[in-house]
Amino acid sequence: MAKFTRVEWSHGMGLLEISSLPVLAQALRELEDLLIRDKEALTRSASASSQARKRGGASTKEPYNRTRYREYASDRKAAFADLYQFCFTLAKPPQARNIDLETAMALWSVLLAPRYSIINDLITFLPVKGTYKGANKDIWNMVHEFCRVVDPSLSNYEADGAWPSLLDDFVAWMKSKTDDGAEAVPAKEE
Amino acid sequence: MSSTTTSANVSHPMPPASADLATTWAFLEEGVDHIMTKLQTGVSYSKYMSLYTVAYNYCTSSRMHNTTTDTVGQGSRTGANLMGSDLYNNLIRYFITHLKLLKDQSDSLQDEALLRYYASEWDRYTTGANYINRLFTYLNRHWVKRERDEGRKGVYPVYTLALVQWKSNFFLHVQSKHTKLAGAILRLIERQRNGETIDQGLVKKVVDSFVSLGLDESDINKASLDVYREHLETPFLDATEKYYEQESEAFLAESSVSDYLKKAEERLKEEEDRVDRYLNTDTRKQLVSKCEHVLIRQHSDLMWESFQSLLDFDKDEDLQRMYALLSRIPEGLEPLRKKFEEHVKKAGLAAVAKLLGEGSEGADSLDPKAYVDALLEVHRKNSDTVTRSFRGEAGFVASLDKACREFVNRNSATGSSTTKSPELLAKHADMLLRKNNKMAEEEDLEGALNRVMVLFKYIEDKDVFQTFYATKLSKRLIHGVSASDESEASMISKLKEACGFEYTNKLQRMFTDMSLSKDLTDQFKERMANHEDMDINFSIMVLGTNFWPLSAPNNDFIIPPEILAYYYQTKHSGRKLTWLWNYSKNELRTNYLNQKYILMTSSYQMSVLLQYNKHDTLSLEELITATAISKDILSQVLTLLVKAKVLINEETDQYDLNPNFKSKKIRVNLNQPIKAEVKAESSEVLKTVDEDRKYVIQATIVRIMKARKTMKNQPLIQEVISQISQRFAPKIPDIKKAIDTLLEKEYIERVDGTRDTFAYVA
Repeated sequence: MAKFTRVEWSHGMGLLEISSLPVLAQALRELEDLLIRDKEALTRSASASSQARKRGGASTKEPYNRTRYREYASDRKAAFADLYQFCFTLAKPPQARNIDLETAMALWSVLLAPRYSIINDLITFLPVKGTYKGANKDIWNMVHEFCRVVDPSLSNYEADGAWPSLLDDFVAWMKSKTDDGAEAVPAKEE
Repeated sequence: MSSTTTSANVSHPMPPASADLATTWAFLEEGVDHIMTKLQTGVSYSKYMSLYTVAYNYCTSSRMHNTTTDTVGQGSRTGANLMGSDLYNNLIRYFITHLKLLKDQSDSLQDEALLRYYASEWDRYTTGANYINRLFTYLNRHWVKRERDEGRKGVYPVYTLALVQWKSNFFLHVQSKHTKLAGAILRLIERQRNGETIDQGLVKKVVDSFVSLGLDESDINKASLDVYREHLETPFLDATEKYYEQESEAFLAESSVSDYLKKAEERLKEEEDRVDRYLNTDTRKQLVSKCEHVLIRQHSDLMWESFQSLLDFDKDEDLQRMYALLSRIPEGLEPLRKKFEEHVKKAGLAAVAKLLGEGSEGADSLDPKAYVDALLEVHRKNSDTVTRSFRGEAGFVASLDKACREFVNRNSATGSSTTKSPELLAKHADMLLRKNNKMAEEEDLEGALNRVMVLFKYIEDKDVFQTFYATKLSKRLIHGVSASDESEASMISKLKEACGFEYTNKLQRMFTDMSLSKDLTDQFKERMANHEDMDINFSIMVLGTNFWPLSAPNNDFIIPPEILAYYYQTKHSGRKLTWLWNYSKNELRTNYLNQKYILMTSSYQMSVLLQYNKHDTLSLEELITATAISKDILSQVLTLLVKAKVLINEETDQYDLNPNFKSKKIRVNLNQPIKAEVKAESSEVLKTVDEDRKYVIQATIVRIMKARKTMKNQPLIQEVISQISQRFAPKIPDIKKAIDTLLEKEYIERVDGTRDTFAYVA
């Protein structure tokens, strides 16, 4: 799992015009801030000028080719969705249909947890429940969908929607938890 | 007739054709009055003819001296019109005078006397008016017709004119005094309602006059009920309402509901008869609906309330009556249906609870027959009620079915398990179909099987029944204890009818296997006949793995060398043969005892006993080695043998052959089921069922998706439920799991950009 071929690697680095680890690290950090942490995108001038100062100002040349970065910045949602899909394929053993649960949870904690704190609950829940061994493509996609559309209070979760039973179980578990803790919270808030 | 009329003729000689109005009318009036007041004295034909002629002459002759002296100043009207109008007005004047008399005479009359007077006058008046009408045929045909054609209101043919005059000068007069006439009728009707006998003919005559007095201005030939409606029907309906309101209140205050039902039924019938006897049929609908309202709807709450106690005490007739009454009002039956459903459900639950209460043993060891009989009894009783008291009305049938489905599947014996009822029912069916079943009569058995099907219809988890039934059937066939092939076939065809070919496919294959096996055994025996040294009878059944709900024992088992069966392999090479020792049975002949016994044993028992052909004493260890039966099972086998005193167990793990074995019977049955096996059976069956269901659900989803290509989640789940519910009631989480599985296996996928739409992946 998670293998890049040499050809793929050098092709990618070539496109990005990256030739050293610090620059690669910087590129990755910027990408993470943009797609996962949801921070302000770098503007061309700000990044350009700060870089210019550091480098001793040869020109407005950027540390690496940010064409791709700006493409992503123009449509972050699609970019993240691509990334999320990519991660599934990356993590999946070639012949398998599923990624194992631990890998999935690790990826979720990196990809989704920064923006959707409910992922932390899900990651607590899955080992407790113990019946799920892996995440198939559908579960992988629906967890993202779940984060995007369901309110953190779970008030708009429809049990008779088409959610995978894993998420049904999770929501039931969450609700039983809150009901036990604070009885005052009614089950239906709508 | 003719002789009496001469005097009238004498006083007024017939006027000539050219006579003036005064002369003409004087002659006519005398005749008219005669006809109207003393028709019974008769009118001669010649007199009648002369009257007719005079009237005719007047109308026609006046046309001839048209526009001469008389008509000056009458504008553009033609003479014929004028002359007609004179006659007509004179007639009116005559009627008014005539009716004035009646008016005066009626003033002092009340109630029945009034009605009698009115009726007899009416008779006379209308008869007379009829003659007069014909007398003035010419007037009717020309002058009246023209006037009416020209749209003049208030001009009618003479007979109608008579009625109009009667109405305005007599009828309305009488009615105006506190509706004296209608009041008299109503009081008479009330007396009849109170049980008195009244002159119905009188009432009818008066009522008919009300109808006749109705007049449709636009078309006088059309009957109009306006007078009847206004003066009689409306007050009658009001009076009816009041009367029955009071009566029913008072009646219910001191009588039971079931008496009331009778009363209401009678009253409704009475009122309908009343319409036939002396009211206009047009009133029927309103009267009936009024009575239904007062007698039924206003007391429907009470009826609904007492429905339960009628059910409780099996008051069939009262129930019938209540049904008949309440079915008359549209909203009447629904509460009954609900209550009935509840009642049946309760009865079913109570019957099961009672059964559990009787037997000290719990739900686990419930006798299937008792259970099935209890359920059937509740069904039979209430089904009878539906047929007898509710005329098999569809709504009640539905209530019965709903209630039965409820208590058959969920009662105190089943607890939360949905599989208990099908299990017990299948066991019951098994007992019916076994040889030792006491129901010797073929017909009884058939009936009993039909009754099984009655409950089967209500079973939700039909697949559980199917699995249990298959297991039981396989045992019946293997052990040869089936009562008759015919009954088996009949039961299977019943199941097939109820659930389709697929449901019974496996069962039928089992029968096929049985007959094939018989052939095979016969062939084998034939072949074995050549080997004279074989002193063993051997029969075998070869059963298709897919069709038989049997599982091979997991433990090894050394086939005693005494048994040889290579035959099958030589005949059908390439087929895998799995020995199911745990289903076989054997007969052994003893020869070590004075008395020869035949021991009927299981294969395990046999293999143990055969060891004693060579030894008299064996240890447990030795036996395990020799037979390769697992220790658990072996010790159970041995315990049984020891208990039957075939073996003696004096020292621990030491088993000796009992040389002094005795039994009253020559054939000794040692083959009793080992406990662990019995218990395992049910849970085994249920596990199979669960496993099967998963595949059924998945297969159903795939089938649906293949047909529909894409489908939303909710409709898909609904469709799955509706397709499967004939076999069992699938749970939604199970369906969702199946969807999950199919998504994972990529039979279906989520349509991009939607969350709840699935697409079939070809």
